[in-house]
Amino acid sequence: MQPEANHWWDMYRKGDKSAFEQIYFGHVNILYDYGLRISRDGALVEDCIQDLFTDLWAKRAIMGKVQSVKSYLLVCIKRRLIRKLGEAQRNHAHAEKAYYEQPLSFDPDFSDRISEEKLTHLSQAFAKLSDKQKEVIYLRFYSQLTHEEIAEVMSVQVKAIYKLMARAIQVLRVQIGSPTFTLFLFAILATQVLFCCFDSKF
Amino acid sequence: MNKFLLYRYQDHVMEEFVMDEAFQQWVRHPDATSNQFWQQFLHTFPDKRGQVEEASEIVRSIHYSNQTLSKKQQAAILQKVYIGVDAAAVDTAAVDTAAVDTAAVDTAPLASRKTPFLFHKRYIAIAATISLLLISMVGFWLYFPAYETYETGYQENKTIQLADGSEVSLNANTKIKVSIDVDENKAREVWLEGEAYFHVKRMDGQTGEKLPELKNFIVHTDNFDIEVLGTVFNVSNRSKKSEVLLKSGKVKVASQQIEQTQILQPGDLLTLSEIDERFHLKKTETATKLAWRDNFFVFDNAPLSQVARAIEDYYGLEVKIADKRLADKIFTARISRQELPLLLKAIEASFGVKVLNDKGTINIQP
Repeated sequence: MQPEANHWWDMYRKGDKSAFEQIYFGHVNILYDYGLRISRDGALVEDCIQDLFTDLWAKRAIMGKVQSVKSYLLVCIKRRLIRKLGEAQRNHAHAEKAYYEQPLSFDPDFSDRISEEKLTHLSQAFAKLSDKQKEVIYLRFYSQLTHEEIAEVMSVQVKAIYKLMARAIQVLRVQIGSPTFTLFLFAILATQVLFCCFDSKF
Repeated sequence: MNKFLLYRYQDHVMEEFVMDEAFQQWVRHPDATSNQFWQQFLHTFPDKRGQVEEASEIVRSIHYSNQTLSKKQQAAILQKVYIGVDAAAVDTAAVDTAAVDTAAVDTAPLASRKTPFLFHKRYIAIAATISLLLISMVGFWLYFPAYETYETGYQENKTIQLADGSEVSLNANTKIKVSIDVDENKAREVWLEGEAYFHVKRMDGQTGEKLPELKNFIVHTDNFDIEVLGTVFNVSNRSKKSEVLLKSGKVKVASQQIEQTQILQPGDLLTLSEIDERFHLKKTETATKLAWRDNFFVFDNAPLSQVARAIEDYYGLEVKIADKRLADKIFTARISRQELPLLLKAIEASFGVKVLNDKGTINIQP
């Protein structure tokens, strides 16, 4: 995906409209989901996406190269959203707007295939993480960003991302015991051994 | 398998496995190749088994429900992008040849450029076979109903327990259809007309024991479906308007009509009516919305038209308000639902109007 996206980016800078649309359709949902975790106002997030791409298309001739298209777009959408939220807060301070200005919500929705007990454990574990740690995990597991890209989105050093991530995982680790999962893993491996024996006959 | 790759992981600790992309891929979407690779890895480095298992458990448990824009919405935003750029170009009168080119090019979404479906004889034969199969399946389905239906009349509340232990309280004039478990792995589905309060539990109906595995639970309304992840919530689906209020836990609401999904947090009230193009989401006071469970009407700065609606829904009467200005008047009260005359008196006293009860029709006149 990544080298491909960089190729589209170069084409887009030369004014290729279909490359621009590839970038748009390839990232719009990632940006939308990310935006909704900053502000739950869907219309506002859509507006920001629209403004961002309007700017990108208008300024295609003067745009430079980027390291990663995905993290560049995520940074842009985050800045725009935070700016708009700030404006909204200054202009009108009524309750409904304030509701949308809740802190970042990067809590995962735990897989519904795990037990209710484990679900409680995990929610508690995640509650112990800082907003930054939650965002790092979200960007890694949902948006599939590399550590370098995450560092760019959060505007910190790559080293800091490794640290944030490792500490987050350590918190999670304490909360998770895995007797049932051991069985599950064992079952998978056992069937694979059978398959391999079967394969080697031919 | 690549020996070099195997050795790349020999010094990995649990955290590094969790963060490794290939490792994540294997845990989430295992296939023959990755299974073989990791099995071989564990065979070569048996002392890594504990860390691999722990890491798998963590990766497996992190999951995000994605919130997406429909293809239609995506295309609409892109259109607005081009319109915005063109407008800006005219504004500044910038001479940009590329921009002039774009104005001429059509802005149809990419998705619409597909080759049409072939109406070949063979397809017709296949279609005929499939429809025959479908018809026989429908016949089978009708013969063996897969649903249970529960209903309440006017002025009646009822609480029922489903096979999985979940409790559903039905408000008056409400009907729900519940799928009977045919298959252990299938989601439990509920279709709602009216209003109900759900407390979704996960246990065995016969033994009362907690089920270890969570099973999907879906509530269907006219305008959206609610996917439940173990939770307490209230759903109303009346007169083409659907509304869900989440009390605790987490639900995901999906609408095919507007092709949008939204995850709710406790205290969220989400509404969608037939004519809406997007979800309306706001934080709400749960007590007012849930007063019906204690058999109370609670009106908190509610317009009279809403009060009328509530009387119609609960008593099955028709309420006529003489004029629009009266219908918009604001009313606040907390009154037992068994005291209709008292409620009508309160309306009379508050607005100085006449309320006449005439054979199933209530007239509110100045």
